[in-house]
Amino acid sequence: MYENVIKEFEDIINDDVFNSFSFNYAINQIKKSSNNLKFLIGTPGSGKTFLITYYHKQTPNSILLQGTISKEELDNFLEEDKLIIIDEAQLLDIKTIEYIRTLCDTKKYYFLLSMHLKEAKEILQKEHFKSRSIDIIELSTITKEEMIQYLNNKLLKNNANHIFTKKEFNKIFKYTKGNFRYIKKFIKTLFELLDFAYNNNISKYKKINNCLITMTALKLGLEND
Amino acid sequence: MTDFFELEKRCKKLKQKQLLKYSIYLILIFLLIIGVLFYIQNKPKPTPIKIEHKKPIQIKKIKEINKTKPKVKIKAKTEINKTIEPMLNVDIDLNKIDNISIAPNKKIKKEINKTKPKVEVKKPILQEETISFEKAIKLAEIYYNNADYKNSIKWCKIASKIDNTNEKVWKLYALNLEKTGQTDKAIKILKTYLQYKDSIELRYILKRLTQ
Repeated sequence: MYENVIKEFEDIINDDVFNSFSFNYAINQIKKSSNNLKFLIGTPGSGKTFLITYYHKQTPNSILLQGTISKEELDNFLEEDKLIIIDEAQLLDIKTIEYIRTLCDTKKYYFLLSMHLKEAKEILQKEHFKSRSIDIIELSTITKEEMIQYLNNKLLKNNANHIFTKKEFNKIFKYTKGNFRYIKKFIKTLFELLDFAYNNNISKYKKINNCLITMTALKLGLEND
Repeated sequence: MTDFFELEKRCKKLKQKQLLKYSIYLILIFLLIIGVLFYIQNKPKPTPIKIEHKKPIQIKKIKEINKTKPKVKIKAKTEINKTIEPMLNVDIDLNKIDNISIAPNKKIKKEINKTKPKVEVKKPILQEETISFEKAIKLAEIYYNNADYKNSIKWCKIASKIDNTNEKVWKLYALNLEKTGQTDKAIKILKTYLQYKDSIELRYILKRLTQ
């Protein structure tokens, strides 16, 4: 019954943009910044990959690479005045990061490195980064109101809006803390459980209730018993 | 979704745990409220310093004297006065009255019957009832400075009877107790006062005494 909703919340990157405040702010900051080296940081699942993919599509003179790239491979993509976007940049080895920094010092190359908050802090603490001007753009998690709006938009597409009460939204936010990846996972799992109950005629769980939400949290490890 | 029922079990277990946890919290809060209420109700009030009066003159003794018709050796100013109150709080040495020598004499007996002997009680210069707080505390200070702690305590008590909320009295009283070796009593008194009114000076003294 809920296959469409389950599909809707699969963790894949599509063109479905949700204009949250933090998303718009980060995009504007990237556009504004004239610095050669920019860092996009945020907690895992905050939407960094989605943002840089979106930005890459919007920016013709850019190239999107993965953090697993080596120094030698990077040379093949170097072009003056071209923005090189690297996702999961925390995976880059120290030599490559150092190389990127040197390239940026020449003022010919532009880099946007997207990485996890924790690792970014460690890298930026290093001497050669401390002494340089780098633009750091942080992508924060979404607010509860934004999460409700996001979920309602998605559910509306599948005629499943008004399925959650305000209390249930609050509980979902308590578990997911505004993290996009968790929200998607949570709703997907929740609807999977709901679908199972519906198909197996378990009347108690044919509608979303507190227990079903707790079961989802337990399954995803967001709640400890 | 084979784990659906397993999840359901875990969820129920978790809810039970949470219920137990909240119940414990509720009980704790309830006990705390009861404790606070009990404390408020039984909050100890500051006990005023008891003034130890010297034995009041008992009218009975005077009456007994009258009955036995004593030969009163009346000194210049000592005459039994009718107006003496039975519980007069004055400084009188009862021993003097007890030691009055009695010698039955007919002539004197007649005289006594006619005139009814009057004993005039010599009143002390400073009376507890009429003295002001300032004077009492001043006297207590003077006695303390002269290392006459016993008298200083006495005047502290008198001052406290007039105004037992004044910090000075408690301070001086505690210091006197300390000097006379009654540190525990001094600590107790300071703690009692500080329960009702805070005072940096008294807290400091208390700290010093407890160290």
